[in-house]
Amino acid sequence: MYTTNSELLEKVREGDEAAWRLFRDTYRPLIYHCAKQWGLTPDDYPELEQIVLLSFFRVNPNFVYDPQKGKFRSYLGIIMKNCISSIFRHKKQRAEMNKALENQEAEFDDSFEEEWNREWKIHLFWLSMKNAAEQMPEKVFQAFELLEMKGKKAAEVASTLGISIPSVYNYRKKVIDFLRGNIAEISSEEVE
Amino acid sequence: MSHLTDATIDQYVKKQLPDFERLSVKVHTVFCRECAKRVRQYHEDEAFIGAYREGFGKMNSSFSDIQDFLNEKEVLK
Repeated sequence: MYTTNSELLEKVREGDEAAWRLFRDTYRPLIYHCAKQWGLTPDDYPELEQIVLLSFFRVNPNFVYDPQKGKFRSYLGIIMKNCISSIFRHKKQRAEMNKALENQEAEFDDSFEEEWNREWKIHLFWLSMKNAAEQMPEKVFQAFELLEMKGKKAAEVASTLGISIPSVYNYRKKVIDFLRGNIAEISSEEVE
Repeated sequence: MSHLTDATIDQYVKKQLPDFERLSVKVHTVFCRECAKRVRQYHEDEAFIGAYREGFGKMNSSFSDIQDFLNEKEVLK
């Protein structure tokens, strides 16, 4: 079930372990993917994840996310930018930076905001896909996934799932409508 | 006049139909409002999914590569 970021952060702050796991699982793909996009090495990813997640509470253990003060996307974006910069700085200090990574760091500074907004949209879609997979009947979601995300032909999807071709398209439509509504719902949380 | 099937509209929107069949869909939609509306709707849906498809694939593949890397590392420990 979808929980707003402010509710989730509040539970994490109270030490709720399940909330912590949900928080980590929700943002892990986004954090890892951004780390890869911005040229960090796989060895850096767990460190980045840790410092990003801990940053919410490190500065102030009594931190409370206040949606009135700004969008969660912007808030997480600032934390991500600072943490990635910090990893770049540490690498420099350890003289691990080669020319390519130096260029990567310069590009990172210039393009962060635009890239972050794009990755955030994909993150919302990723969350909605996860919600659809959890909330919709298995065959309905699978028909959509095979047809639209894996590029299978409708006849192949129908035969794999043991359903008719019109059902494939009917299920596809159901999932698209769900995703549209779910993304709108999650996005509206950002400006609550 | 029979209506276009969903499969035909799907292939038309995804540009998978041969030229001749593509043309016949275009002609059909001139005369059939209902199918024209369905084709428009399918275009909108395709634009919606298309905007995410590539990025979603990349995010999933980054994530699974990294998970594999971390799992392998865990095994080696």
